[in-house]
Amino acid sequence: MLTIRQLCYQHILKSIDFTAKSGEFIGIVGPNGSGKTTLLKCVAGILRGFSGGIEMDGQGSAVLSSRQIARLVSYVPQIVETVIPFTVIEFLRLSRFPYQGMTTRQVRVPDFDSVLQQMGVLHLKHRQVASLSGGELQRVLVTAALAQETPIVLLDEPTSHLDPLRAGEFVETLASLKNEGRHLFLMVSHNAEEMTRLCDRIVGLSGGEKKGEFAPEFLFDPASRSLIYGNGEGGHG
Amino acid sequence: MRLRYFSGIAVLVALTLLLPLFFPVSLVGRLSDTISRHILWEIRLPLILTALFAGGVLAGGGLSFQALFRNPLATPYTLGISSGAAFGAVVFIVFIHPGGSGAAVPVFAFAGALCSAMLVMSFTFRKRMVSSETILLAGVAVNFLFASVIMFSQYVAAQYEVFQITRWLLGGIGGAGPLSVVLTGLAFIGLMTALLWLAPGLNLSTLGDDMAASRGLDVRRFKLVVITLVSAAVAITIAFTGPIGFVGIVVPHMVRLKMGTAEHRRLVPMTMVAGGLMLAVCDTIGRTVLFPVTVPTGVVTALIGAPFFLWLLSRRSTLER
Repeated sequence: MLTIRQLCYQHILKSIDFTAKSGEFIGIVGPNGSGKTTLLKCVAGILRGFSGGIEMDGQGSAVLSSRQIARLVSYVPQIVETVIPFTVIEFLRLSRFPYQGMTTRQVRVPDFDSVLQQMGVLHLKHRQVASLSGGELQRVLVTAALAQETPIVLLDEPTSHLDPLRAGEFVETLASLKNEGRHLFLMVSHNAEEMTRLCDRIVGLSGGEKKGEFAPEFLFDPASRSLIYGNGEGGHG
Repeated sequence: MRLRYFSGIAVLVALTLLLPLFFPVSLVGRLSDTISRHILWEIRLPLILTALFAGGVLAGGGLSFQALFRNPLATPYTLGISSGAAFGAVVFIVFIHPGGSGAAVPVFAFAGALCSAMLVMSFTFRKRMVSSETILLAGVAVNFLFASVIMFSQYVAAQYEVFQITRWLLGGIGGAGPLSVVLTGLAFIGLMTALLWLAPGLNLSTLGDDMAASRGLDVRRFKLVVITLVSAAVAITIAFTGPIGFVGIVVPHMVRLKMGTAEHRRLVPMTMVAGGLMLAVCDTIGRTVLFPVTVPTGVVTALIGAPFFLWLLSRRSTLER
């Protein structure tokens, strides 16, 4: 499904290897600046000047067009710094770009209601995206990723701006998506609890290198945490 | 809804096309006379058509640059195209044909505009990813470069040439004729068609480079295509109109506010028609208020546009808290 071979990007990523298959939920952990977001952006086709290989569905992403990649991978960014000037439904329609081409004809009008329902945001359908709360926005961003109908979904710290209650609800929604088994999820997060709830395995990054793959429980073990995050935790560094 | 929308536009355009009959001096009842007919068909009609097309191109250029660079202050001149055109005009007025007639000025203005656009693009599109900030800053630099050359030329030029330069820099639809109507008309139709075709990409651009790319937009190529198209269309119009300000920045904002949408398939036609109407009306006002003296169109659009723009800025800052 997804095979990454000796992926290097500038000086940020150094020879990353791993494979994942459909239905899996993979967590990516690492200290700030370890290359987690860069890794996701390379897979999402946002950064294209990498060396090494990213294979999706048996095709190397370097030879795929932006639109072809967008039919395979969707991406939920960490922070949305821009004001999105659309209503929720207009915003979801933008997710269909990979299937439309530059011409404005819709090949097939998808049923956004079912994904909106699934993410619990059907009532927000006609609201302006700019008027949504942080929790609502995060759900709408994931809805947009699902509306893109890709086998691979990338999530970059999706709960970092949510309060504990909203984060908990959000994680449960992700868990139900995972149980459908239709997607491969890659999620960057710093939260050990949600990683244990969701992930099948964890990829540890540090300084742009892969430090290994672990079971999620590993995140609660202080000795193993220091392997990834270094010994600086707790102010002894 | 759609019918009302289109019929509303049609009525406004029709009314605007009737303006030459009444302004600056009414020709109603005098059309049996050849001179009046000549004034209407050979002078006023080409003027109003050129204004309609040029205003549309400027507003369409502003709309697409504001989306492309995610910058509400972007105008079709942001990348230095107006100072490039002015540079071309100044080169002709001062160095090539000092003190002579200005018939070839549009050719040089067009060449200068293309030069500035190519200069900006050649410096920014070398890398794989081009940030909007880089392109905008390159535009600022090119603007300053040409502006300084223009100031230098004015310093060394003769008095009459300085007057000609100043007059050109004010912007105005001076020598309108069949050629300006056909060329600006082609630029208008070409740009409208292209922008309608590119509308989904413009919508994605407003989300920012990362979100646009993850939805399958080849951001670099898209920027290159839009900048090239807008530059070509604006270069054609600016050759005939000079650097008329404020239509390109204000009209897209007005239309966005009025229509309450960011969907470019709807914004593009409305903005381009509104830009044309604004320029045609401003040009008519400029010809009428001090008749027989003509106030340059660029002065009228700025007089109307600047206060509006200040109001817009104050509104914007309250929105940002």
